[in-house]
This record gives sequence, C-alpha cells and structure tokens, in this order.
Amino acid sequence: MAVWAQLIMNGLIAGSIYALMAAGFSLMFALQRFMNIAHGSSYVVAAFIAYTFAVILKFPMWISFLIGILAAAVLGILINLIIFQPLQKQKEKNNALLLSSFGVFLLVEAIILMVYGADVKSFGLPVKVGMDVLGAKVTPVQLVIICMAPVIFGLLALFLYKTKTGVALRATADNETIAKTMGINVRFMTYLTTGLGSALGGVAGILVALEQNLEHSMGMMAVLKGLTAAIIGGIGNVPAAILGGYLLGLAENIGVWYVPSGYKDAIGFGVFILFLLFRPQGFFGEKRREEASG
Amino acid sequence: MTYLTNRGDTVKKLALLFVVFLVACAPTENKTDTVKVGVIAPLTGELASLGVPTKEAVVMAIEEENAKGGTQIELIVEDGKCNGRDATTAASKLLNIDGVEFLIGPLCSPSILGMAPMANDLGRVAVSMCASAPAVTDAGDYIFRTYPSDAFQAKEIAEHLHEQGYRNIAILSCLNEWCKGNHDVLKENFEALGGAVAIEENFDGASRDLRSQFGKIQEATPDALAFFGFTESSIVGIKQMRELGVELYTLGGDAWNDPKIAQEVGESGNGIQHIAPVITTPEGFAEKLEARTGSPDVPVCVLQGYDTGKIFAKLIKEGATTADAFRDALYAMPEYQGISGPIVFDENGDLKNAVYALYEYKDGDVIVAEETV
Repeated sequence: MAVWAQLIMNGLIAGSIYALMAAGFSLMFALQRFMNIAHGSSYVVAAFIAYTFAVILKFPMWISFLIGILAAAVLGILINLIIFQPLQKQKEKNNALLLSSFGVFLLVEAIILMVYGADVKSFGLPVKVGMDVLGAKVTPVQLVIICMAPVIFGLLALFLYKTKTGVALRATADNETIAKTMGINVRFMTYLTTGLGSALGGVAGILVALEQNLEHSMGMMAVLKGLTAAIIGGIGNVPAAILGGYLLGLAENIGVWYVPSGYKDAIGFGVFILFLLFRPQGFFGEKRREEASG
Repeated sequence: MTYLTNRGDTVKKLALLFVVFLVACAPTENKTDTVKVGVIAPLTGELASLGVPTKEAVVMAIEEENAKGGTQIELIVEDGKCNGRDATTAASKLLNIDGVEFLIGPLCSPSILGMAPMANDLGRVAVSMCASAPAVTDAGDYIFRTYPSDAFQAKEIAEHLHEQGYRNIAILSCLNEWCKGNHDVLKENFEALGGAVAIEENFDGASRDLRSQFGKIQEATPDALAFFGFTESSIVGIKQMRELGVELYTLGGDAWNDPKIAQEVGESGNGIQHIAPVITTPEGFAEKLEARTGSPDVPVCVLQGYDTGKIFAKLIKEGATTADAFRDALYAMPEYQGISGPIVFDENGDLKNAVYALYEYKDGDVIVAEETV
C-alpha cells in the first residue's frame, strides 16, 4: 500500500510541474495561436535568476524566487514584443513562429551556458528524510510543490473567470476581432497572457531547481513534458491542460511500476502518441474543436 | 570594356592574395620538431568535475616533457562531454581538420565507444585515461586505455558484497555503456558466487528524478544496493534515496570517486561506499595540480591522465610519430611505472592488471575505507 501511496505522490509532484508548464503553454496558445517553445526559456531563466539572488547574492529565498518569477514574465513579454509580434505582423505562418520560438529557446539556453557554465548548481538545501504523508515519504519542498500548484491554479481561475480583465482575456482568446470591436486592448491582453504564462513556467522552473538542482539544459524536457500535457488535456484550454499535466505525471510514475523505470519518459511520450492518434483534440478538447470547426 | 578591365584587376588582386596566402601558409623550418596531439575530455556537463582536472594533468605532463627539450608536443584540447555524439564531433575535428595522428582520450566510455569506429577507419590512435566499460576491450586495434576495465571492478564489487554477507541485492544503473558494463559484470559474478539479484532498475543519465526507482527497490526488500551513475544524477539520486528513507548498504563504482558528489550530498552520503582503483597521489602532485585548477582535489582519472601524457611524450620522443608506429610502440611498451601504478597493455589495448581500494563518503569528503580489496 505504501508503495502505491509513494507512486501516486511522485505522480502528483511531477504532475504539478507539468501542469504549471502546460497551463503556461495553453494560456499563451489561446492568444498567440502557435506553440511557443520559448516558454522553456522562462523556466530556465527563472531558476537561474532565483539561484543568482539566493545563493550568490545571498538575498532571502522568497525575494529571490519573486525576482526569478518576475524575470521570467519580463522575458516572456520581451520575446513576444521583439520577435513574435513583428513576425505575426508580417503574416508569418505558425510553422515559422514555432521554429523561431525554438530558436529563441536555444539562444537563451546558450546564453545561460555562457554566463553560468555547464556544471549543475544547487540551492544547497539540507537533505533530510521526508515526512510521512498518507503513507508516502514527502520532503518539505515536495509538499510545497504539491500544495502550491493548486493554489496557483485556483488564483488563475479566479482571475480568468471572476475579474473583468480575465473575462476580457478569455473574450480575446475566443475571438480577437469581436474583442477589438468591444474596445478590448488586444495588444495588452497578449502581453498579459505571455507575462502570466511565462510566470507560471518560472514558478515550475524554480520549484524543480529546488527539488532536482538546476542546469542550463533543464528546459528541454520541461518543454516536451509541458507540451505533451497541454496536448493530452486539450491545447488552448487552460483547465484541461492542467488536468493533462496531472494525468501525465501520474501515468509516468504509476506506469513505471509495471515497466522498467528507464522507460519512464517513454511512457509519457507513448501516451502522447496515443492521444495524437485517437484523440488529437485532447482529453477535454472535443467541444472546443467542434466550436472551432463550426 | 570597363567591366573587363575591372575584372582583370580583380583577377590580379586575387592572384596576389593567393600568393600572399601561400607564402603565409608555407611550412616554416623549425629547429625542433613539433607533433600535434589531440585531447578529448568532458570540460562541460556530466563528469566535467573529473574532465577538467584530468585535462590539466595531461597538459602538466606534456609541459614538463616539453621543457626537457627534444621533440615538442602541441596539445589541441576539445570538449567531448561524456557522450558518443559530442566526442565524435570533437574527434572528427581533431583527426580530419587538425590532422592529429593520436588522441589522449576521450575520457569516458560512451565517448570513446562512440568515436572508436572513426579512429579505426582512419587508422589513428586513441588512448583513454578513464574509460572502463568492458566493451572498450573490443573497440578496435587503435583503441587503448590506461584505466582498468570494469571487468575487474564489477567483479571486485560482486566479491565485496558477497564477503560482507549480502545475498540479495538490488542493482540501479544509468543507461550508458559504463553503467551497463558494470551492471552486467556485477550480476554475472554475484550470481556465480551464489547471490541473487532481487531487482534491476535503471535510469536515463539526464534524469534528475529517481524516486520511482527507489520506491520499487524498497518494495523488493533487497539487503544491499549497487548503484552505478555519473556525478550529477548520482548527487540527486543519493539525496532522493535518503529523503525516501532508503538506508540500504550502498556500493558504487569508480565514477563516484569524485569529491563533488561527497561535497554535494554532505552528511546524507555518510556510509555510502564505492570501489575504485587505488589512488596514491605522489607528494607535491596535488599542489602542482591545485595551481592549475584552484582545487586541492585529485579525483579519479587524474593520475592516469598524467601518466598518459608522459607515455605519449616518451614514445613520440623515441620516434613513434605516426599513428601506426605509435600503436605498435604501445603494444610493445615494457611495463611503465606511472604515478597511477604499473602500465602495460595486453593484446586488446587494455591494462593487464588493476588494484582497487574501498572508498567511503564521510561528512562531505571521500575517505579510504580499505587500502586494497
């Protein structure tokens, strides 16, 4: 029984991170209409900026984390402003935007490598035996990951569904032209979405860095898992993408009980391929797809 | 007409540039001969903590030999990381563009196994100072190593576990040639001794989440754990193992003879042991190395790196300046007394002998638990 509790807990830890990344992807996709791979840059940059302030400059942890998340949001907005908006103005196809976002991601990764070097960095948190939670061993950082993600998603839902700006944002995502005629500042909404989405990626990056250390190449797997989760859930639909993240985390971690653990990533991508083949609109994406086609 | 005149001028200018280029590139007569030697080691990424000091030890050995006069050796250093792809790219540059005849390195097993076909096809020599995977034995006629094969090490691990009374072990290993080699040889030898392997688990070297693996290992209730991983994944793995409350006796291989692991895991690594070749650092060596690396640590492979540099200088000065002559000289070399121990190659380019010690992590340091095993 304890082993199942542990597997589920491991799934929730991984799922929380995937869900944060997927929520960012989905939020940005809703307005940008392309898969923004550069989202991975926010994940890496937030972790390294937080590390710089917390470990090198000895700032208090929570201030360092806030600075890291802010840096991720600013980076996301800047990338959108400098690269994607001019490309979209030139009516570039989504494939070109996707490729350029991949290029931006690699560039940011290379800059991080140049500045910080390739060796793995650590926040230096003490190693202690985890506490017992429902029969599973969980460390304080893991508990923060598991608890913080739903709080963030709750706040995001409140913002999206209960505030005027959130409603305007969803209206823009639904139909940009009508949103414009309604007087909504679409450009501001795009910045807001990229900033918010990047901040979510930044939170994920910092949480993973606390749990598994940080290195310049940490973003690629996060991008792949976040994208997979977003597509499994239903891209463009934030709650669905979040659920996709948890589904992916649980599938991977429970799946390794039945197959050798070295195939953990293969399980995730296997689920991804199955979804692409049999339910490309995602787990919760049917309604949206019908609307879009209709 | 103007066009033709201009074109004539352009041709003249290009011809002049070509002549200048030829003059500039013409070989100049050196009073002393210089032989180029390539060095490939992981200078970034996984195992850079071993690669950088080992590279410095090679440079130190060559500089010492160059200072004695005679044929000079020019080192060209490339970062091969610790994988076949990057090492092959580095080797391709060194062998095809720089035109070197022999390489010191690549340092890691996956790296040398990746570039070995190219070295054999081109007929160029590569001597690894740290590759220990058993598969390197069959990597080709031009591939050598000054580091013992894991065929010795994993056998020692199996015997040590058995001598300590463990009969039902778990094996956790990463998915590369080094890990797989140790994994297979350990399993074969441990079972031959009458022991059983309760569970075999593995992980991708880039993975930083080994919790599921430890969960499965705990469930299999083994009495000891053999854990093979490189530096970065091992640091995370050891921490997660402790966080999950896994207190099994844990034994690793020579990749764990890296002070960075001990420092990063701190007290949580106490009691974790590994088997690695005996390292008896000569007096004054650590200080000389520290002047270059800024660290007093002498991790595994550094002494082999120094010895490899010395052997290269010795054979080149004796006239082995082509790849084939160098290969023949290595096979024929009588026992060389290096600082890492006696070095003599068998017909596969492997070391004929190896002596191992048992090491242990204690409060952030690597200490010797048993001088020889």
